[in-house]
Order: sequence, then structure tokens, then C-alpha cells
Amino acid sequence: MWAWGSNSDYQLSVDTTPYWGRTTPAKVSGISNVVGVSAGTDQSLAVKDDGTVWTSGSWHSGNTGGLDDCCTTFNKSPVQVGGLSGITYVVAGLRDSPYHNLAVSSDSPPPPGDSQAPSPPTITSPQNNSYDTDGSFSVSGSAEAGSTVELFEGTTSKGTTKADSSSGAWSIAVSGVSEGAHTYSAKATDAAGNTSSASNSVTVTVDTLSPATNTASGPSGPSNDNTPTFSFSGSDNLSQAANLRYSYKVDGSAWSSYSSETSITLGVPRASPRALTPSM
Amino acid sequence: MKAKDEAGNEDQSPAQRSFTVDTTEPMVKSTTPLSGAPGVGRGTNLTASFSETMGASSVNTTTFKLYKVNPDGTQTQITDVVVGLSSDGLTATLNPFGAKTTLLARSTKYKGVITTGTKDLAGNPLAQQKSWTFTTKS
Repeated sequence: MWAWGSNSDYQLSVDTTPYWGRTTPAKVSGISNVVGVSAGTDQSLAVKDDGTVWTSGSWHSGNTGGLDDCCTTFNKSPVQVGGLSGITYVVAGLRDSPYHNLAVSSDSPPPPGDSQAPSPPTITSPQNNSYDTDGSFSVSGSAEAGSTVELFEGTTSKGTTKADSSSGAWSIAVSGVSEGAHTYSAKATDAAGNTSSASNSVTVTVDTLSPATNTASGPSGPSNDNTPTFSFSGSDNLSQAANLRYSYKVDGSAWSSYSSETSITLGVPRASPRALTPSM
Repeated sequence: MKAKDEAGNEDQSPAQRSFTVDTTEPMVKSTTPLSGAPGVGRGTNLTASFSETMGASSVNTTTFKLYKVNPDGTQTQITDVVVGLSSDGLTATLNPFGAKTTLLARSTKYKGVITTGTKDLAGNPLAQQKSWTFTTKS
């Protein structure tokens, strides 16, 4: 920024001799990246590319300590005007205006009456502590109607969507989710930019691997026990053995319903022929 | 049988166990020499054929025995015998003197015994002990 002309109230931000000003531009030190300027009667305003406003000159420029300092305190070099951000345009007042300054910001102010953060969304599906077997599922729930919902796993965003403008329903699909437990939560951001706190969290365990079954004991081959007992066990990468369920069948029968029983005793008929060949 | 985990995944390769239930007790169908046979060659073996396949471990010198019946009625066990089971498990053979070339005594009564210690493959014991006698030739 360069300044010249009257310096009666230090509005040039540069030292001048004589005190009243200079006839050629002088570079103003202590400020750069200026994208807009306005010269007032005894104050100067400058806008920087970061949206801040800087000033120099008489108390009319602001930041000189208040009205009590009128006419005796000056900003002799650029100082930042407090309370302003995102400013793109300023106008400095003239003596007959009188002396008021205006600034325009590029921010969209919140609509009147909506400075409140929306209620946190609710995740209704999947249920907490549920399982998924293919790593692809949708997380859905409700939120403030028309708000933007963002789904998180921890602090990592898993996608955003717009809640239905009337019902507030929303759904975000996730895929390629790795084997193991994953905990999700969501936040809603309304049109005014207010972001809610986090929703309830939902933990989904992806388990794509099948358990293994072993026969622990029981007859194999010829046996004269016509009420043979078989015990069995299983193992899984995620489920504890105690939480596995078992089904069995003999020869061409249908599979039994799953139960926690880990042994079965068969009643093989003693009818003729008395040698049967069940296959477990 | 197959397991299912908490996520609902089922074991795609269920554990399988094959077994055969047999509660029928085996029987001795026939013997050689025949029961009560006279004039039996002195180099004879004893054989017994069974109604079903026997477990090899249950056919041995403890379960298949040979006795010499003395004139006073007492019996003397021949202890050098060798007992075996055919590969099909259906015939047991008792060789009175094993590798030795000794022959049975002339004109003497002998008694073969197969105890209920013999069992079929499923473990069913012989329905009842089998014993029979024969007499060697002079």
C-alpha cells in the first residue's frame, strides 16, 4: 500500500516532513496483501486478503482507545480493527459525512432466529452391537429435516447426505468395511451452518468368515452302541466358542435347528437290518 | 454337524463322522475238525468260521484254546499253539504246535474252545462260548 497527501492526523501511516503531508506516494510499512483501500478525511482503511481491516489516523479510524482520546491519540501506523473478519470492502467517511466507516463482509450471516445447533441425529439402523456378514450395509436414521448429515467412524467421515426435507430421514451406505467391530455416529449441520453434537453411536461387527466345526468324540466305523453320543466343538475368528450354535443331521435327514448343545445322543433303531450306517 | 457364529455365518464344510451300528452277536457257524469227528489226521489245524467279521485283536491264544482230554477226564491245555484270523476276518485258525513239526498224539481226544472274548468289529462278543471235541486216528 502506498500513501500520499495530507497527514494531518497520521492517516498516511508514514512519517512525513513537513507534518502535514507529502506530494509523492510512500510505501506504508507494516502491512501487505492489501486488496482494498479507502481514504477518509483524517483516517485510512485497508482490507487484507485474509478479510481483516487495518486502519490509521485519528480516533475516527477506530482502535485508538475510545472517545476520551479524541484528538490527542492517533494510530500512526496500521493497526487491525477488532471485531471484523471476512471483510471484502470498506469505505472511510469524510468530514461532512461525518466520519463513519462501513465494511462489507462476504460471510452469509445465519438467518434470523437460527443460531441454535440442530438436535443430534438418531441412528436407528443397524442396531447397536449387531452383525454384518458382507462388509456392505446402510446406516440410516432421522435428523432435523433438510439438514446435512455426516456419518463418522471415530473421527473419520464416511459420507454425507441430506436428510429428507419433510421427514428428516437419511441413509448413508458404507461398503468394503473390514472384518471386525466398527462404531458409527452422525452429526447434522443445518442451513445456517450450525452443527449438532454427535448422535447415538452404533457398533457393527463385520464377520464374513464362517466358523469351523470339529467332532470331538463319538463312534467312528463299526460300533455296537445303538445310542451313540457325539460331542463337538467349533471355533470362529470373532465369536467366542460359547456363543456358537450347532446343527446336525443324520444321513439324509434335514438339519436340526441350531442350539447351544455341544453333544447329541442318537437312538439308532434296533430293527432289522440292525446294522445302520448313519453319517454325521 | 455344523456351527453358526453370532453373525449368522454357517460352517460351509460341516464336520462329518461315519459309523456303523451293529448290535448283533457273532456266532461260530462251523468248525474243523467237525465236532465229534473220529480218526482226525494228527497234523490237523483247528478252524472256526464266524457269522460276521471278527476283530483281529480279539482272536488270540487266550480266546481260542486247545485242550488234550486225558483218559481220566482231566484236560491239559496245549500251550504252543499259534492262533490267527483270516484276512476277511471270518475264519480263525489254531495251529496246535506252531512252527514245530510235532504232531498230535495218536487216538487221543482233543477239545477246541472259542471263548466269548472273541468279538466282532463292532465289539459284540460271541453269543456263547463254542467248544467241541474230536479224536485223532491211531
